[in-house]
Amino acid sequence: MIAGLTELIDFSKRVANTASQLASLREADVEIAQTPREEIHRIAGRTLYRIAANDPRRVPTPILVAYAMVGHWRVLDLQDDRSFVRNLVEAGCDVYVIDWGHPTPADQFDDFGDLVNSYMDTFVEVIRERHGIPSINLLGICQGGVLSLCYAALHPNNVRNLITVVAPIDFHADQHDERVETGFMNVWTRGLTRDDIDLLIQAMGNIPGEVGGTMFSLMTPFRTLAKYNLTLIQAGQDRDTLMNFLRMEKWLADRPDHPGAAAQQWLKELYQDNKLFRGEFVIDGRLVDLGAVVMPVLNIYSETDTIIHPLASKAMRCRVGSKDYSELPVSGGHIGILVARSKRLANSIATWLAQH
Amino acid sequence: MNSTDDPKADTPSDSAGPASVTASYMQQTLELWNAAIGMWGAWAQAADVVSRERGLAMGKSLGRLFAPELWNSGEFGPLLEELRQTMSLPQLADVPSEKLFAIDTFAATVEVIGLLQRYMSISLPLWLSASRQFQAEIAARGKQGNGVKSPGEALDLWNSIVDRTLMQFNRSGEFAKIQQRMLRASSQYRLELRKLGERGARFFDMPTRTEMTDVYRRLRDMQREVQKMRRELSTLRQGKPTAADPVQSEVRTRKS
Repeated sequence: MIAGLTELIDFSKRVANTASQLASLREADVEIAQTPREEIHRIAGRTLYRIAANDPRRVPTPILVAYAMVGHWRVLDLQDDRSFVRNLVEAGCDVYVIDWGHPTPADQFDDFGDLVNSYMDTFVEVIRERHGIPSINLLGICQGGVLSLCYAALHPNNVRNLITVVAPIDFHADQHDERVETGFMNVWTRGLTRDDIDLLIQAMGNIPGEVGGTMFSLMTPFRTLAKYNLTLIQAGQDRDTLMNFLRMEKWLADRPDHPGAAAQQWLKELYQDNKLFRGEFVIDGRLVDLGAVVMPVLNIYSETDTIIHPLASKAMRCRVGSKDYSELPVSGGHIGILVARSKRLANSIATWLAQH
Repeated sequence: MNSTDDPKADTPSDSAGPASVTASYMQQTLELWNAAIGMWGAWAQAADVVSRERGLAMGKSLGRLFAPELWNSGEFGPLLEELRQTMSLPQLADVPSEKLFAIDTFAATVEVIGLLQRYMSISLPLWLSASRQFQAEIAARGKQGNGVKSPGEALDLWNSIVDRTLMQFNRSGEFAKIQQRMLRASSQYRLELRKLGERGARFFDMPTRTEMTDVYRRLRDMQREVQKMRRELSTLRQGKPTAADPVQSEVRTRKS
């Protein structure tokens, strides 16, 4: 009884501490993506940035980083000591990033052909011209990994090395895993009929970012609800932890809409029909032949990823044509590995690139 | 002088007498009465047809609308479609609201509300299940001498059980089914709202969503075309053969 009351009083004190911390903060105090960068090229709302660097270049060939469209790339530069792109720069890489922007109804007909053969290809051309090189290093994360893989298969001469991070290749690899905490997105998407997907796109044009947000919330429903009365109060005891929590919240709140036509392909042809893995995925009338991915490949996945099953990523091994294929298992969550304080992931990538 | 100028032309002649005037009056009254009877008969027949063709079906449908089973099942779509069919008329070229769009919008709204209710009714037992699991876990720990020592520990245990229960439910077929229906109903609702909005937009002479979508499609096609031409131009500047070149050379070969 006494222990319970003591804990209650302590909890109340922690709530008050958090309230004080929050009262002293404004929206403008929570900033993300603060690493200096330069806008290099812009095309139809998509932007190519170059991350500023003073460190000596250990990897002479620049890297183009493609993040997913279901979230904003700024998670890769969450804060000074949790910045994947900054870590890459500090590890000696010349880093370019694609900002897919915030698609509007005018972008609803953008499909994989536009994303891969138009935007990505334009950005790759810009980098090649700027550096006077025949090919670049391409690093794709999650859905960006799928786009990068497709690009590498369709434009193999433009890609010197390919790196994929927590990217799904076999979208059905989770089917034999009965754990409730994994593969929810796959289960949910496979449960939809094709008519439902078409109706959703017809009604919405683009898939609203909120739909993706809801899906992620459903994966851990109560934890999502509890984060504002438990996690936030815990984080509120320390300013740095609170700022980290709020920066992540800011990123989560900024969910771009997904272009409708690309979403139709993503959900039907990849999630449902698994066409990329089966070698049947067609972009702009051309088959995405993973056998054409002959450049060196580094495939990074997490054994504890609950969004992209590790087997879904590891399936790349038996599909790409590269004779120089490596895998790097890392520990951490789907997003956690990108916002970790540790620089190990960026250092491993830089080391691998320096050797290729 | 023509007959219209003659004041006596339309009046019975004085020679016909009062009896003839009365008979004529009675005759006209009778004709009027007969016509009225015919009209009422026609209306009675129309009412009979409406009652037979529409009223019974409408009554049945409306009766089902208040049946608890319907609200429990959440299957409003078929009933509202039935109502729409019952009330529908053949299309008339100059009658504006022939499509009964209000019913469609109403149907879509009711469908969403019904599904929300259905979702609530499905999820309530989950909380009971989580409570039972929580009690069982507390009891089991107590028996093992490893009882919950603080409210914080109890809260952690409760959160973990609720999370797991909801995750299991979210992966179940039942949840998938209701989610699908919800998604379909929400999409349908949005499409119906768009139709309403487009009527308003046309009234105010503003572009509709459908027209804008058409513009976006054309814009995207043009963007792709421009992109393609830029690439070809760039390739030409570099002196490399473009994708069009083989075709041209083939044509030239044939001509020669």
